[in-house]
Amino acid sequence: MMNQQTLSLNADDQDFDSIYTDHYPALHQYAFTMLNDRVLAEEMVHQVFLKILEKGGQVNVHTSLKAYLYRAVHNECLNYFKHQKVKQVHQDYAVVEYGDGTENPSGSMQYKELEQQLHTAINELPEQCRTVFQMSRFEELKYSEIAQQLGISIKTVENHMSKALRRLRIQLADYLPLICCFLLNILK
Amino acid sequence: MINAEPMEMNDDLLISSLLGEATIEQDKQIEQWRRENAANENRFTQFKIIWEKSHKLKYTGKIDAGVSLQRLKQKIVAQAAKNLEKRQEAADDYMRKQKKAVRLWPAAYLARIAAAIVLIGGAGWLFTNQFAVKEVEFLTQAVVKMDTLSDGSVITLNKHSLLRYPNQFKGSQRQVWLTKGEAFFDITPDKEKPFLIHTGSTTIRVVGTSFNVKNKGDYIEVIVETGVVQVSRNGSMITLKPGEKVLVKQNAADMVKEGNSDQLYTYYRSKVFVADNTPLKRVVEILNEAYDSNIVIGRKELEEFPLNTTFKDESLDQVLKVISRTFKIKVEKKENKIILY
Repeated sequence: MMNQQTLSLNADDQDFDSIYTDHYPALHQYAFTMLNDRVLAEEMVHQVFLKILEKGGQVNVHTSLKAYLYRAVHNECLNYFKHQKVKQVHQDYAVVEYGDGTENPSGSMQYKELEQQLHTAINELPEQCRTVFQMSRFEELKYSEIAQQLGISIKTVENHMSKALRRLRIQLADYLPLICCFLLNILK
Repeated sequence: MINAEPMEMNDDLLISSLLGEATIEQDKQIEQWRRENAANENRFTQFKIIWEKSHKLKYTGKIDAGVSLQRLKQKIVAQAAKNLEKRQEAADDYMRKQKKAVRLWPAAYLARIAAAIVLIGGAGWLFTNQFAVKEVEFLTQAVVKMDTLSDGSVITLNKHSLLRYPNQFKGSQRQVWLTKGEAFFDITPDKEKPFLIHTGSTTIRVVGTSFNVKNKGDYIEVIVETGVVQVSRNGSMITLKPGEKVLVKQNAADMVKEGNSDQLYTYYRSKVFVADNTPLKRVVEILNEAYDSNIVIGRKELEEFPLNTTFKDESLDQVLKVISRTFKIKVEKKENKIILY
């Protein structure tokens, strides 16, 4: 685990390139799952790095650089939602983009609805909670790996995951029972 | 209600087990608990659905960190140029205030002005040539919209479509991005500055012409109305002339050129559906797009039935009535589906 430290980023350094390329795939993934747009997701990651450089490249890392960058991307995305006031637009947009339409027709409406609600609910998780969820779900890391990379304990990771899934389940309560019946019907 | 369940089960444990983080002992314990009653099983299934469903949100396309880094570096240069300009403005301000004092030293004064002109000019040149371009997002939801670009080209954007373009075209090319959906482009001719449309993996290059582009995700369709259009993907390129079209399929290696057989694609601009020996299958496809409907052809042999008619601003019901009478087929509405059989 890392201790508190100050990192200095300089765009002309070789280090900068490798820090960027090492973290980019995960950060892009993070922004993508928030915005559901490939190009915008890249823009968010770019903004994070541009802002760091604008401030002279100094990064005060409390736990790990990765945790710092995740938080920055998270905030950048939230800012985007806030400033562009695109939340509604984005959600409408999400309905169009999700699903390939080849699923079982009677269930597909419910499925899309669930998917959309799920997306919204995940975005509404608190930052740390969402980051842990992100790493577990989309980077497919084990609790121990997440703990190590974020500089927190395994118990904390476990707590965040429980909190995340419990919250999602409660928020999606209206959609889930239907789906369960639907699944059971298929299995019969 | 979700919270009112009789048996206490530790959600932490349930979730750990779901994620493969529990011990074998714990997994067994959970399995037993699930078998106790339907409510327990349901609780576990709900977590499982959330877990599995959320995976669908993952980005599965290609990620090229190196290319992204290059794009970032361009922005860093742009930012530096902008900052330079800002600093120069501040310096300029300062100099104006100091004017009186400076007058006493004309040589130094002139030298400073010369230096300032060079710097401002340099930064300004860099700025206006490369970076002072803002991107515009042109997004449609439930209605078709039109927009004019800075070069006078007119874009008609179909429903549920997204086009990105710069507020001003700079440099030697005019470039736009059709992120999703369908658009008709009427491009102002400019031989010096070719017009490029990027959509999915495909790039369309023109000088001055009109044509339709449709990005359905798994395929991209380009239909040319006037002029010559170049379509390229992964290094291969074909040229289309008026009346020709190409389908670029996501999975197929080649681009295949064909004659465009119908005028239906113009519906969202003209509000007129022209079916001229058009197979019913194709008519239904366009109607579904236009009316956000879910019409399904119930019998396979109906798919190729040729339709000859024109619909102008008619309701879907009227359109269906005509189709049903023409082919002597039935129309049945079932939930959100309309079945022709």
